[in-house]
Amino acid sequence: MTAERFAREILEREMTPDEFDEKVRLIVADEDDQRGVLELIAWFRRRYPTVEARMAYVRKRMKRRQA
Amino acid sequence: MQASEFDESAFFAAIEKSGARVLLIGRRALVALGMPVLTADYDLWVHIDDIEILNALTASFDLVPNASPEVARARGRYVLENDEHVDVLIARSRTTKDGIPLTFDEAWRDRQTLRSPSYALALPSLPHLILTKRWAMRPHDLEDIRFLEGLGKAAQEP
Repeated sequence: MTAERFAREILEREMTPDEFDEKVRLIVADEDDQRGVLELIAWFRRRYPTVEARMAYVRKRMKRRQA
Repeated sequence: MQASEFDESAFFAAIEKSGARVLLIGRRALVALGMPVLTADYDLWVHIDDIEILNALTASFDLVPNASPEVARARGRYVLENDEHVDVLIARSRTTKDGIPLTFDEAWRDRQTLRSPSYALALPSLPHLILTKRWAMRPHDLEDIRFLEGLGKAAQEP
């Protein structure tokens, strides 16, 4: 098995509702993490103030990654 | 082989102009809302009666459907593809693994519209977007919910 396939298996694994909900609960309860998320969103919206600019940013990043 | 140059702004502008009922879902919806996540493909949720409208307009972007409208309707989804990959969901409703249904009509009724200089994008409401992240319950859905919950909190702040 290749490393890529192994990683994909982990990322694509579907969880049970109980397992998923427990993880959501932990994520939402982590105030430091949520603060970090808010800062990241604020930065991204400031740097790319329009929907079009944000979408273009992702296309550019993906193109660079796939090159 | 030369990769085709996909004009994303023209693509969304054409969808808006067509009048087709099309919701942007998946990670690109999160990007549109302001979350810096990466994804290679597009995910659209389209009204089952509007497949032909969507296919007609996407043909001018050299996007080819991988199934006829009849087959797509039977399967509930199909793909538009060339160098781009557009997953098109056309199910009338989807249910989360724990049994919470969401119909296209509900998602369309409660949609939010994001306006940009060249086009307007229709997205499900925040609660409905979170619900779509519970359809498969995979690890990256958790990451997306992390952002969506953060965005919900940001909206509540004075």
